[in-house]
Amino acid sequence: MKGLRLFILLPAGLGLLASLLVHNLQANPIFYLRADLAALTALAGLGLSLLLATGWAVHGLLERTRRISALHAQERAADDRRRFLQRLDHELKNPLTALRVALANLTEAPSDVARREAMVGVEEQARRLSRLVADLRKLAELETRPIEQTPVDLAVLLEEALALARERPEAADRHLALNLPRAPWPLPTITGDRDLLF
Amino acid sequence: MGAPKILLVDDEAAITESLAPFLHRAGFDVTVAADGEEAIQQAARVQPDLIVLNVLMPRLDGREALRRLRSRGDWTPIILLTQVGESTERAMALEEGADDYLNKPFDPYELVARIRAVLRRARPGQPPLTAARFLTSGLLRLDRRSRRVWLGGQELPLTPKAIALLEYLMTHPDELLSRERLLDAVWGWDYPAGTRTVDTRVAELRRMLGDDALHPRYIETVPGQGYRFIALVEAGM
Repeated sequence: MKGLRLFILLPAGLGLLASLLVHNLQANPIFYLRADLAALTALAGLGLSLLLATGWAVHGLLERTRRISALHAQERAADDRRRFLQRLDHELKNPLTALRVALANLTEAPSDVARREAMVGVEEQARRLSRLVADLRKLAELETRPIEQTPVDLAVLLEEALALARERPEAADRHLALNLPRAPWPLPTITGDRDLLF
Repeated sequence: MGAPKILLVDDEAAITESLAPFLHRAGFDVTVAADGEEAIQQAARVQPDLIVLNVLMPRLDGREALRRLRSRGDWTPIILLTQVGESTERAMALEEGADDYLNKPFDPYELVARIRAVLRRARPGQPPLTAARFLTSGLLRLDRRSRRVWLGGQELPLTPKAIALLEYLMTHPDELLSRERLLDAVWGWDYPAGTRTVDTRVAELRRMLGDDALHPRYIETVPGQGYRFIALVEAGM
């Protein structure tokens, strides 16, 4: 696109350059053009046709480029989708496997301690699956419903996410901290769907 | 002989943390590794009797670890834990010299059953039947690479699914295989409603092999439980 614009400017630039050169000459000769009307109309028509043909060709070229890039975007989307499904397959199968093993451990637990450990395992994996399902629902909604465009304060959103993360049992033995930029500017308010961003 | 040594390889801590005690209770001595590289190191160190190897892992995945072990002539029995339920993936697992495979999410009791079966079948230091290109059993001959089957020199026109089923049965001789297990291993499905599919294919195989269900030479029905390939299978030329 950029190359095309430069190409358009080239004749104008050359013309200007030639004009400067001629201007610097001792004499600036005057150039008369004479033509009979019949030849002129024919020539003008021909020139106009040539101009239209060029325009049409350029338009076709642009259209083709646009179609190709749309096709690429489609392929990329299909690719993303395939990768996402494979990833989902993997993400779902691991907690399910862990769940089945934890349940087997629970049935066979030789002691109270072992039973409690197995219970924790079951709960953890069940929670993990719930989270995955919730994420999945968000994605499904993303495709079907219009996205809300409202101002969202990122700092508030992140504070809330942190508070929620702290409530999770896995956070008990972890130190969670949130550092937001304040200087030179705090985080800007963005436009988006607050629920989907969360 | 002490407890059989199992090397359990999975990057998912939630799985190894609960699977290791489970296998320990089942009577195995368990060592855990978190990726393929660690698995190769641990394999050299603990000399396990069997490796349970997850496929999808960071650093070095299970498939590559398996390849490296086999290429250096290490024939320690390996059960692959596959994630992608595609038949090509499963076929590849057997072709690349795994002894068996199990699709995630699996029943841990099934894993123990698989481990025991593979250990029973294993001939120390020697390639398993799953590493052979040709399998022969009496008059029956299977070329695993070209997917062709002969009976007494005559080629049998079998469907690809029937060949895959025959291949799985022949690489697991003398083993009781439930319909669910066959469905999961050959079709990659894990729901009991489809077990009739297995019966249909076994019937097809029997018809082509000229096997009598009441007096079978090859495939025996174990009432209420599943099927068993009863003839002796050898890695042929």
